[in-house]
Amino acid sequence: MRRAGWRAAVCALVVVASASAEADARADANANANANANANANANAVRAARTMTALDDARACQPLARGGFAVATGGGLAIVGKDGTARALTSIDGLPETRVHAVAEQGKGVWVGTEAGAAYVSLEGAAPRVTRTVLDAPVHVVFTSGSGAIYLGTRGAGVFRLAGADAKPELLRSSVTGTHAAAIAEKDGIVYVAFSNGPLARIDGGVLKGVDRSPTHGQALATVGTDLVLGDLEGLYRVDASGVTSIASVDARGIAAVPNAGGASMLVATYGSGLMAGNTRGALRADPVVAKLARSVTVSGAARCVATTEGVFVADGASAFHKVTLGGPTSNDVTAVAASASGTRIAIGTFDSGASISEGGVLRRVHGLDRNETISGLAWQGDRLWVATAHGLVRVDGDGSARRFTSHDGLPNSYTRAIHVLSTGRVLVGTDAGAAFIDGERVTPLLPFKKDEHVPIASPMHATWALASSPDGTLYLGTAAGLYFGKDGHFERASLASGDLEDDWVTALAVDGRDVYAGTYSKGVTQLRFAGEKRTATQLGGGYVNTGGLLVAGGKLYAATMDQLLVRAIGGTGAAWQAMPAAAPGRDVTAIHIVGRPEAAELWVASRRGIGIGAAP
Amino acid sequence: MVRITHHDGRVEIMKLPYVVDTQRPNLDVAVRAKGNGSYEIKAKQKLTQAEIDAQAPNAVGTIEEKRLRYASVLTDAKRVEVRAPDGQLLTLTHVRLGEFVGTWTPVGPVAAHGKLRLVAVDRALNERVIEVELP
Repeated sequence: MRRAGWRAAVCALVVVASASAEADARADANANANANANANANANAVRAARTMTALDDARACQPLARGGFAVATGGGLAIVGKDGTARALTSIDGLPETRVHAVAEQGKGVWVGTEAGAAYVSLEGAAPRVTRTVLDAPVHVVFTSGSGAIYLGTRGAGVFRLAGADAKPELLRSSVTGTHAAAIAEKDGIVYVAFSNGPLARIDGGVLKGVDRSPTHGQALATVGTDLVLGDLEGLYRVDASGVTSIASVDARGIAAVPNAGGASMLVATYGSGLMAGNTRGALRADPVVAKLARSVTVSGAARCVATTEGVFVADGASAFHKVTLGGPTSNDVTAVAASASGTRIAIGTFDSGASISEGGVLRRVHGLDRNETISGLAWQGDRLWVATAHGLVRVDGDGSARRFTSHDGLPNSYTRAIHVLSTGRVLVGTDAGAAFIDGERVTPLLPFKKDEHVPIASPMHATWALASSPDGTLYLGTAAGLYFGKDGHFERASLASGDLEDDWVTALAVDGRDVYAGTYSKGVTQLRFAGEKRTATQLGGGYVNTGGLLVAGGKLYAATMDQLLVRAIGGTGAAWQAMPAAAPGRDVTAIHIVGRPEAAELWVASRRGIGIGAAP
Repeated sequence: MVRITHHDGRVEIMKLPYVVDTQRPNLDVAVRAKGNGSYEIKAKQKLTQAEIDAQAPNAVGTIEEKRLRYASVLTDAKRVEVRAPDGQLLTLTHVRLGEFVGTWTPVGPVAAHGKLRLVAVDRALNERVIEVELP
């Protein structure tokens, strides 16, 4: 899963202090941080001391009674103080999951809905802390009713009611087809639930019952004056005794009533037209400041906030909205991490949002890449950064200038997946149709290659996902057809058919002396020990290994897998993998990299929920 | 689910279904001893009910009718390799959609009940390993 004199935009304007470090100190006292406790129980555990997540991926927000805002983001829960400083909580701090969909204030804290359950986060004390977790299903809606009950709307597991903050969650019976709760609101003491895959429902006698003739792709719901307003994929609707009436054709994702502004005034967060203001019986007008892809809007007293894909926008009373920049990488879906030799510049690539460089605590977007570019691999060569993307290999020079190599320049294929800088200064790039060398401006396929011609299985010119080399010049190519190794144009193949591998799809490689570790898509890691002409294969297991997801360091083998970071001792067949749940804020670990000089090295563990950073082994 | 807003403001909601192929290719394998000591190996991908159900859930008819109808769409084996008892590795030749053929000539005497190990891979890189006893 890619950057000198960087002409770049500063992404992080507000320093986000992760709550992780403080959580470390008080881990024993925090009985709710189960993941922390489990990790601490193991002296060898890899644990992130801080996290780096994209907090501008805002999904919902809540003005707080004490001032400031709570922001549900794809990179955790951000608590923004009145002074604009922010603290972030992730799964490492005890949240059920780092991706937070919903937030609602109750008492001296907030309820949050995450991808794997809900949690109550106390805001009492010096730092926010998780004090309770419930459920394990994705919770997309959190609603606190006038009665003090809490409603949790899940995706696929029903709607739950907690009579009070300490009560057990009770599943509501349902007679409606909807299973994906999207929004909850209360009108005249009756609680309504909007489903994204079914009609609007109301709770009647403890049972969810459908509202006749309501649209079936609900996304937002609010009581505005005397009206219940439903935001649906098809548009905005007023729901009353006379039925369901279309108000506007906007893609409404959030609705909030505006008190003291006329009985039926509201704000509507739309996906495409940004924030719109109006009332339930008139035209809507767009706010000129808020980003166009708005997901949610909340009003509490005079405070207002809008969660968008580009961050959270806030306003107080009639003042104009302004953005509170929380920062982080360009996306939480991190695919690759690479540090310069000095460790002062760390490039961070993402699945769908280009790449950025962390330098001196500031993140700058890498220019020369599209904003939504898919990054597969990164490598530094001095102050030059190589970026493997879905649309070619990009070389970003020290002066910030970028050069893109594609199949038109001679690459076997423009989809590039891996980069390896050789000790000779040459660069080897893996593409979807085989590997190629880059020497200056010249591109040379690893072996002669003709587009669209059948490639025999003996040739290494197959989709190449991982690259490595050993000091004697042997190249190792992890491909979708097995592991190829050799030099000077002569290659052998280790495969499922040859009995060496348990899966031909090699996604990651690590070389340690005469041992080569091959991580595979679905069958874990194979150790290949080379002794002269012979090789011995040992299957180590370890699940689904992500691209570029192997590292040997400190006598241990690290595997970035779809199910956590795994670590085992190298040597000895009896060693077992240990999962490291507190190494990263996400379960699907996508990259692992040692950053900095040995005396102060850090271990960066990337995931689909951002990056965890801890001490290097 | 896709929301389309037309020029006239009309909103249309469409479903765009997609299928993730997680089915491993299933093969019928035939091995025939030839007169010259060689063996002819034929492997033919056979669509299973599960594969057809996963990708064409509304298909009607018998399994054979469905196989015929969907063969050109769902037959996606792209490589079949064979490891012979003497250690030789062969790649069968792809002769037509879903059909692979090859010849193994043993380098020495063949033990009774020797087995061929076939590895089939489809376009989605799903793999299946099959062992076939020699005739």
